[in-house]
Amino acid sequence: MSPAPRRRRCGAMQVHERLLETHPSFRQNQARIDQFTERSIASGVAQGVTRKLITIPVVVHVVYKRDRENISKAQIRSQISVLNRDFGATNPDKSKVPAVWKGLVRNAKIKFALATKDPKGKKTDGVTRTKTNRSSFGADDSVKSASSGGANPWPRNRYLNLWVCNLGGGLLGYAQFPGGPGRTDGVVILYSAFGTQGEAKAPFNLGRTATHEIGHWLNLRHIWGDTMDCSSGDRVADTPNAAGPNYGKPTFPHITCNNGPNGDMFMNYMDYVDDAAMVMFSDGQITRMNAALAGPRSHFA
Amino acid sequence: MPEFEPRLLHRRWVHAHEEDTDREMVFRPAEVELPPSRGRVAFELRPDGTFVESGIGPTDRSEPASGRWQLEDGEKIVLGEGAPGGAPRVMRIAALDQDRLVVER
Repeated sequence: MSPAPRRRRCGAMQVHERLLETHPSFRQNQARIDQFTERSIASGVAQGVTRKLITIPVVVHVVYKRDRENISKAQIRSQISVLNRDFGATNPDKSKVPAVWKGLVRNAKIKFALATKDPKGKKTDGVTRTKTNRSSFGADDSVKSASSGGANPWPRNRYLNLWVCNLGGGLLGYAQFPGGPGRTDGVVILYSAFGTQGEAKAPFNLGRTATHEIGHWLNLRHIWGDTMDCSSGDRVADTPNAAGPNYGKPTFPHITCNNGPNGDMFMNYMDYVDDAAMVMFSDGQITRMNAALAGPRSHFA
Repeated sequence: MPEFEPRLLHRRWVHAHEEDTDREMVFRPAEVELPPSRGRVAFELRPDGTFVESGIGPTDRSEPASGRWQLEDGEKIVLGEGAPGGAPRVMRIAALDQDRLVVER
């Protein structure tokens, strides 16, 4: 039997679990954050956080070996525009939301802007560019450290760190929940699944990978609850539980987990469908993100 | 019951979700290059009765696990406890050859 090629093994060490094991405080933090999330939603503290628009400064760390991985400023700007449309619910394709869920779509009042000041207070365009000798990175956080060929994060209490690189293993992106170590906090995205132009390639060329990963960064779970047998949900009441990820461009309704007649909310950003097929966060998800901004990510509120 | 060689199972299989139908899931050998994806489940069935798998983790990274597997009634792959975000624990084989494993959902 021939060994599996490296590209399919990439990320075989599941970093979330590894973090939970090597940083016991991460597990405790997550338990505490979960409790806070429930409490702050029940009391209305979470919902109060976005009475005014919250702007999150973003730094994009472009880590490249080949020229095409050194993506253009225009491609980066196109990604920021997508984030602002998606989190503001001004994305025109929200018309694809089935009638039954249209009432759940609303403005999250979270805005993203490329940082204008670096950690030392100097003027910046919010983009760092690092030439590396690594042809690709795994899902092991090596892109987040200069010592392993990547770029160090900016302070996570002031910036959302977004790394763009050649991610191996066929993976489009990965994230870290609130409560994890500061030196790896942020999201990582494949250079060809970032933004809407330049190197962005269909069917992941509408910038939705970043929308999905930032959903995780703000404590959202996959709509199928990360089990394949309907045994757990995403801790959000208005997203029906699903049996597993949906892929491609599904047809409504897709029924699993006795969730008829409407079935899976596969057009949700937290499913696994193509960029063109994911078009909404639900009201309950937005409230959960609010709780993250009232608690573990309160530095931005 | 479909005709197939059980020893063909002994390799690493990756979910080629692009090829799924409503009723069937399709897996390809790990050697076959598949397009980028938000996540794919995979499992390697070893002749000694053990398996290693990678499920889809909660922040999109793969989630490794291992355990024991068996072929039941000559047609069902039964995986022991493993990754919560891994392949189904019981998969009835619909077709199997060098390039493709098709199971019923």
